Amino acid sequence: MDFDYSDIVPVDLNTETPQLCQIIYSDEYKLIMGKLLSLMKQKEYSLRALNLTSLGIEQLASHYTTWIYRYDIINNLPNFDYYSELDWCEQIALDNEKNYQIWNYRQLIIEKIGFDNYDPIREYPIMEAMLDGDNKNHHVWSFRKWLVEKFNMFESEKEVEFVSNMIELDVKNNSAWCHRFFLRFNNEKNVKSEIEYVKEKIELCPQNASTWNYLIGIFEKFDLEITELKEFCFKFLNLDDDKVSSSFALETLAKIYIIEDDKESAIRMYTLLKEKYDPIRCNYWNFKISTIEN
Amino acid sequence: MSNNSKRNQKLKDINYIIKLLGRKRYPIITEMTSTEISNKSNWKPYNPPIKDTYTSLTTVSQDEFHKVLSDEYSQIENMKFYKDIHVDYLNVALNSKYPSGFKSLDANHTWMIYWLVNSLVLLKSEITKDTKVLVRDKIESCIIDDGIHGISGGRNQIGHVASAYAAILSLILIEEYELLNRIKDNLYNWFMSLKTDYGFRMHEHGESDTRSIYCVLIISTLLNIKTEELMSGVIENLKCCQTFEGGFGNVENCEAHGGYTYCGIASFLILLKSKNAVKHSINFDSLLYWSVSRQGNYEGGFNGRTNKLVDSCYSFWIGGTIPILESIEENKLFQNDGLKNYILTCCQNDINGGFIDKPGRKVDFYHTNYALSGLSIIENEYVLNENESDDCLAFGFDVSDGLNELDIGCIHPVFAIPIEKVNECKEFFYGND
Ligand SMILES: [Zn+2]
Repeated sequence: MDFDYSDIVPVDLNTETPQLCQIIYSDEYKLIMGKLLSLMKQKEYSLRALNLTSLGIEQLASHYTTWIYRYDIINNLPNFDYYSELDWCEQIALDNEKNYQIWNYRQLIIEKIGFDNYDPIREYPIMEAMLDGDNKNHHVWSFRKWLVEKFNMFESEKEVEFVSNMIELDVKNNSAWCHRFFLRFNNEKNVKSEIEYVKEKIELCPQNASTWNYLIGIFEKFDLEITELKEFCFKFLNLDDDKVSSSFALETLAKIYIIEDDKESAIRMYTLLKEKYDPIRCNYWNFKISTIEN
Repeated sequence: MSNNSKRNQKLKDINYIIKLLGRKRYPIITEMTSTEISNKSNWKPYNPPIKDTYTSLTTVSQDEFHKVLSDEYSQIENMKFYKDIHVDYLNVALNSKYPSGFKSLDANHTWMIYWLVNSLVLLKSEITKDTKVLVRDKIESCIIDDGIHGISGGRNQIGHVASAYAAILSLILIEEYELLNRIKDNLYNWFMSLKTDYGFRMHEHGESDTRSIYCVLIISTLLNIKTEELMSGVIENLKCCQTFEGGFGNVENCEAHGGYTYCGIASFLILLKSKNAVKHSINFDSLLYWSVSRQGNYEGGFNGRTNKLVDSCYSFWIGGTIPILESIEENKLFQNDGLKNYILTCCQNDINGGFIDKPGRKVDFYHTNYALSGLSIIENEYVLNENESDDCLAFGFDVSDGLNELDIGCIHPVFAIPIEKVNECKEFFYGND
């Protein structure tokens, strides 16, 4: 469908001179954005305006104004097909990996369709494709978290399976671990199995902050005694040989010794971190030592 | 004439002659205007003797990154700071016209101004009267109906809280208080129109997150338009954004991230009046642990999330939390030399000026500003006073002295512009009391 835009007078796009940081726009951009912003000013909510926002987003997907205007348009169009809008969104997402406006927009559309009417599984392919391109894409993981929350997917086997697969592919993918933490601990019943799960992953790759944070995170959230982890920590160090396969095991041991009131051993752990296994944080380890001594 | 102005004069002369000859000018200038840092850096890239045999996407990109850094670090004996080249770069950047490919910055006009002008002020370069007029013009073109509909990222666009943040800071940098005074009440009403039960929408139909909250708090504090009504629910919401790792996410239950963590902790210094109150409002120990954990043994610099690569913009997003955390804990906690090495050795463009995210990338305004802001943090020595009369703890920051061998201005860790600009602004909007 072709639209007639000949009656619209485009607005100025930062054309005054002299001007700091002036962008010399292409004629195409000037025309599209100039007419788009002009229609927006007149609050025209029409199919031709919608089409113009598609062209605008093709030009610059990170232009938040275009997204806001588009949302106002579809809110005012009768019998608008929100599902085809989601399809269109997906193409834009794939072409603009780092864009985040699109995910907020997608949330608005799904909200519009209504949580009771929408099947969240429909979101899986696009999220998978996006995380395939960047397995730590913060916007996509945030969106995923929103989805789980809104559609109460805490018990969804598919979701657990997905996040397990992501961890399988890269056990250092911290985004996946954070999502897992959110997913699994909506409910206390998973604590035991998750401790076993993460311990296994630590043994697979001991020098990994993501898994250790996850493990310690569980103990803190559910008020468990980390002294229970003493034996586990010793799997990753042989202090007689001065062999350490995880600096995080040293840290955890230090915390355990403090609880056990074995100050000397705690200081010994922090000193090893400071001098050999994690010297970039020497000031922090010194601080830790000073809190024990006082 | 001071050494500095002598150097500047000489630079101008050389520029003039070289332009005349039409030759490439930078190699010569490089030689004469860099500040050599005395060789007392006690930091070197270090690989802890921990064998890690696991391989994945993360480890492969980490290993490649280390190789690149190893090249960078092996080539350079002493750190140098090419201050005059950066000033040159910034002035050219501010006054250039950009080809159509730069349309990607079309919703960031106020940000471009903030990044460049803030960098110039940090480098103690004078902003001329003419430039100030142009800064004002540009920002004014983004203010909608005297602020009734907010401030946008470009002429004829829609109001956006982060664009407004950059705009307000830019106006404070050029001491444009009358304009600020004129729009502040309208901005207040605009914020109220974006208010949710617990935060602020970034824009119409937008979402609230730690960043939008931080931006509103900064503007409303600087312009003295904060009210209890505006702040209601905000602190409770911010507390929820701290994750099990210790840092803050954009919203509850999302991954901790350097940018959001900065916004989170800075917001607490706006909302509260004492160090103790901050310490007890959040899980301070885990925030501290997460923050120091951002620094790499081999890299020296900071990353923004667990198991991600180091990037120079976190020199401020994480670096900005250094004076905050250290003054609350009253202890030295970070390794500043490592960060300084990363910024100066790996991210500095010594030919054309500016800073990059990491080796191999191109210079951009954003990373230039936040790398310089990070340098400013570690070059200056901060104190945090608790003044009963102050509106918030953040106003208690002051600079003591510090070594400051780079002779760089002193950025305010919470307001992200030089401290003296914050103080001038405070004097205008709060009076001297
Ligand atoms: Zn960056």
